[in-house]
Amino acid sequence: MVDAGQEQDSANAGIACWDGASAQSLMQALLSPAADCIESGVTAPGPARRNASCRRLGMTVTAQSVYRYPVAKVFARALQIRLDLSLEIHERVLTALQEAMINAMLHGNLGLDSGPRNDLEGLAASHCVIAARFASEYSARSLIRVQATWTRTRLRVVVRDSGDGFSRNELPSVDERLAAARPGSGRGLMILEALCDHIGIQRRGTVIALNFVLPGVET
Amino acid sequence: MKFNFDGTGSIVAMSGDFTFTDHVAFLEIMNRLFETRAEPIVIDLSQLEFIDSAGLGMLLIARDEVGKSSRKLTLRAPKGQVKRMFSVTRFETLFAIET
Repeated sequence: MVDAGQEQDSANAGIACWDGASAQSLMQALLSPAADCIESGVTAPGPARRNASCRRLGMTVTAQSVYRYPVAKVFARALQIRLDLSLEIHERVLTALQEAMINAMLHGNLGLDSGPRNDLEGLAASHCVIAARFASEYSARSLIRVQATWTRTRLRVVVRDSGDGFSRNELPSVDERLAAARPGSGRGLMILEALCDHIGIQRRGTVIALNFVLPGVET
Repeated sequence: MKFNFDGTGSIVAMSGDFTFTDHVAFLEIMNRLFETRAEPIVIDLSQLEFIDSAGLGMLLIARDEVGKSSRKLTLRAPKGQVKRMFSVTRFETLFAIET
């Protein structure tokens, strides 16, 4: 018979705590054998569903940390180390994850759009708005979750924000995305579609799944 | 992202990563470019290792701001991931790019 304490120990196995102090300490927290890394002081979400045929790495961080630190870069580097990813795959994963995490922070958790960043004044103003939002503990500590799972031939990286989502009608059209001359936005989704083998947008856009085909990685 | 200006003040070389949170460095670059009347205006990307869509957006802002003084912005020698991002977003059709 397994008592409650043993169940808790089992659930916590492989969970590392990140102190939120630097990119270096995040890298340390994400190093093997951690399967999940949770920023200090946030309420941990439930353990991810396990699939016996997959390996996994998760990270739960605050929106403010996504703004402060290159968390996508660190997470992609941790994946590269674990999966021995080629430079080409690593670059695609990093670039796509960077787009997805900044979108999650900006559009998801903070509920801001990209329009105001079309000129110098708008760019400076939009970062002032972000700073003002982060003055609120609620926004600063809102969560962004990243879960990577992989098999020998596939890598799936899922980014979940804490926002209300959006309607599919609000997504830029193909023509709008191709009109990339506008500074503010329109390129993020184009980049994701170009770099991922498949993307999935779920739960009104609060969940985005980045899928990559791997050329036979040994796990 | 780090940057260095040449002696004329019209050529700036970026290095490292140019992403969403590099707006402060970018605004400083633009302020320095506004101070000079020298031409050509060049942003040297040969040492830039990584760019995201926000970095691309800031390059478009630079193009538009330089254009307001009837000058032209040239991007120099994008490489690696930066060059591939230019290709994905068709940026080579939006700028004068020196290889």
